[in-house]
Amino acid sequence: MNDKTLVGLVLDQADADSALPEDAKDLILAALLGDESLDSALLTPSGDAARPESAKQEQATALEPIGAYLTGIKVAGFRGIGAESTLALHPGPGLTIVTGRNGSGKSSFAEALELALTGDSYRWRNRTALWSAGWRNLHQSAPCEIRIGLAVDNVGETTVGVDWANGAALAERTIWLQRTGERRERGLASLGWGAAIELYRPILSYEEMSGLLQAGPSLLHDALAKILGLEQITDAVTRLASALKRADESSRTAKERGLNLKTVLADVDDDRARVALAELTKRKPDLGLLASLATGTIQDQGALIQLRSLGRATVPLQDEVSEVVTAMREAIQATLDRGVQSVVGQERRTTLLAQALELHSADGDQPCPVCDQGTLDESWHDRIADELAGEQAELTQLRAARAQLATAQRQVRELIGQCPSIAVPDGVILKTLARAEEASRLWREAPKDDVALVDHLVQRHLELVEAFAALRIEAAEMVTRLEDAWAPLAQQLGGWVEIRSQADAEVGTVRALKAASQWLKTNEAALRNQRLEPLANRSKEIWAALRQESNVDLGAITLEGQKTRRHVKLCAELDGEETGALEVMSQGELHALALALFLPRATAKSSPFRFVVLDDPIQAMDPAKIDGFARLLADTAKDRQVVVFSHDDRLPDVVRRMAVPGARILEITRGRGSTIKVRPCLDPARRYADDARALASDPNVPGDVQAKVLPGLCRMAVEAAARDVFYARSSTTGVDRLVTEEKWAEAVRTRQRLALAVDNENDQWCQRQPHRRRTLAVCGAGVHNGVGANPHGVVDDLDRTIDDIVGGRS
Amino acid sequence: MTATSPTLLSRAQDVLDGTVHVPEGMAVRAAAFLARKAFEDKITESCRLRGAAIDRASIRSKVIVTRVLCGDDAGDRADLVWAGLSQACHHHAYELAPAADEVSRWLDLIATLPTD
Repeated sequence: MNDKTLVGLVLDQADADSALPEDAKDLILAALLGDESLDSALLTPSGDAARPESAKQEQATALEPIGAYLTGIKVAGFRGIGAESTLALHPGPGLTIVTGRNGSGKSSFAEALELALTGDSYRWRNRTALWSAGWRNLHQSAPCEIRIGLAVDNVGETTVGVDWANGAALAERTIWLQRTGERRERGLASLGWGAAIELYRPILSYEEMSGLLQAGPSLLHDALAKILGLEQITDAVTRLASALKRADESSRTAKERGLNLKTVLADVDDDRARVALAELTKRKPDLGLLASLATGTIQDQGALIQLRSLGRATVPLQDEVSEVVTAMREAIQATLDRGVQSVVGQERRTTLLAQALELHSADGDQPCPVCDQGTLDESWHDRIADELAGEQAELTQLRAARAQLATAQRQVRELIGQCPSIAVPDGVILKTLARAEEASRLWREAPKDDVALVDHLVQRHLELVEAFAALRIEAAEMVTRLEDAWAPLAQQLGGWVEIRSQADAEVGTVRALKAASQWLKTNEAALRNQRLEPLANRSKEIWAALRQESNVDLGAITLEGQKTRRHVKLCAELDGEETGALEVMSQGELHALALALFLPRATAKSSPFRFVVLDDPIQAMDPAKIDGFARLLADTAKDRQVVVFSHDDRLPDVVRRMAVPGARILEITRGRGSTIKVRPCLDPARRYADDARALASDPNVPGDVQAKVLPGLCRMAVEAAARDVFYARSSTTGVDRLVTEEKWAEAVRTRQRLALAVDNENDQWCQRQPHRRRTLAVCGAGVHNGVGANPHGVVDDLDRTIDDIVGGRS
Repeated sequence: MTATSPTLLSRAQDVLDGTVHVPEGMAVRAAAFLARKAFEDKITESCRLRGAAIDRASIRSKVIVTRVLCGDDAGDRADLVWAGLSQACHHHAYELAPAADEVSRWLDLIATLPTD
């Protein structure tokens, strides 16, 4: 058998494929492990090579499972079992047949076991619907509990418990685990069986299998796939596909909306639309730019700037104009009042007179140096000084009036300059523009003359104000129109940017998912059949053992097709003619085939389960096949604990006749009110003792023959009893199975084997009771002197010795 | 007497495959009777050859002796054939007559029982 878990197998193949990116491998692993794993793997950033911790654990535990046997199943209040009943099992290799009529409660033990050990498992989740009603016992519904006794390798006795509170539903159960001497822990996680229980399916309900071979090709495929754990691959494929669809959705939406947006934007006369469209056409649009276009956090483009400024354009106010006009008029009047004399001539005369006064002050009275007729004397001096002072005051006033006029003129120029220049965006048509431009032009054509300038201001201002008011209104209306058209586009654009960002963020994920999905799909078929191959080979062997007289020869078994066309291809030869197996097989043969298909998996060497439990496997089986089946079970039981529940006496009957080592038969009977009784019908030591008794009682078997044969039977009986005790003790105390087997194989003689079961130091155990001593003497004796005259006495001694060994008496 | 076993076996086979004609519906059971006689002869002979002269002992005793003297493998086969034949050679309520295939297999098993 293949020793790898399915996950391990897939990962090995994926790792070997160098074309497959690392993140895709991680996704494949996560998808195999389940929805949650995949979700969390998708949340971790891509390129993070660390595999999820749970996955590592899963791999580790799958590689090193803990082996275990069953020591017993104790059930109360569950299914067909009312009062607490125990099915004690021998925890070692060997075949146990549990018989009971239909409805005796044996299947309830099997179901209890299955629920307790696999209830948390992958498969069970899809099955609980069948059981939602009627799972509690009708006669006694409380207490409702299951106890599974396990003998675990290197650990010893371990109990798995399932409890339900009163009135709790099937799903409301508490599952716990307790190792001897340790505290109870919740769940079965520490057994490390999570993956193994899915893969090896040590508990096989035949009911589940029986219909499937005929239920249709896809159902059989699924059943086999489940046995092989292949549904994990199928589920992983589905999981990856739906994850891909989800992850790809933003990208698809972005593409769709992007196209739509481009069409809309192309029809909009707006610079922002043109910029956005240009970006959208790029392979990698500048999302930051687009986002600021959408939110308006970017500066307006071209036309809008100009329109907005036109909307704000101001001309000088009426008050300002009036103020300036008044000031101008006053200044003009002031200068007119002072006349228009030459200030310069006046100043030259004043300078001359001032110097004459200075001359007179310095040199006294004298004839006038300028006219040479008059005289510069005291009276002249006083008259001229007064005159000069008067002229000085007049001159100052004139200067002030002139300065006032200059100021007014400057203010007028400023006012005229305040009229804004008009810049109109290309392609924009404004009805009020011409009037405003004309008003502006006229306003600026100021005349040079001060009086005319005042008139100019008064005449042109009103028109200027009105023309610009009209222009402002029209420009503002145009801005509003543009904004109204842009707003919904901006919203769309914003939404698109968001989705596109998301899609960009997921681009790595989508790529990895695509790779993972594609790889798994491509390799699915190969993986399936690779997984199937060892099993298929063993199936053919088993079929060969079971087929007996069947003329159907089983050929290749492969899983084919996908989705609705999936099916199992079973090739068969009918009397040498190739044909489909299912078509030519009888019901009984189909059952045998089902066994052939699933038993190899359940008993794979790598399975931690040292047990395999079969629930009613021989329904409708030909008597001839039952022989073969019993042999198969006996063969399997050499290194496995095989527990078979059977409502049919044919299998126990065959087993009784075969010297299967460690074979036992338990009978379950059902009393009133779902009381279940389990009693042993046969164990191997007793079987030999029974044979010995039969031989001793046959008067026609001469003494010498009895003497020859009885010692052999005694030996077999004592060794069988010793083996049972030794194996049971070893497994319940946690001794490694291989060590147990080695020890048993090393002990060759009867006394050595007995010593493994009882403390026979210095032969004291044998010597303590005469019947033991005599029995061992018979076992060890030669052919001739072992039995003596009393064969019945020998058998009595043997019975009591077996009691002592099995009962653990000292 | 020792020579009868192979003869009986081939007779049984003849009856089974119709070489020797018996009334319709009787063939399989007739073959089973012949097979049973062959088995009894064979196992008696087998025991005798191993030093256990127990001609008059019960078949069960002989099967047990075979198991101890010839080993479990032979013991198993003897046990199976004997169980099947005892069943087939008596009338049982609810039990159908054996199939020809089954009797045929018993004949094969008898042939493999040790004779030396």
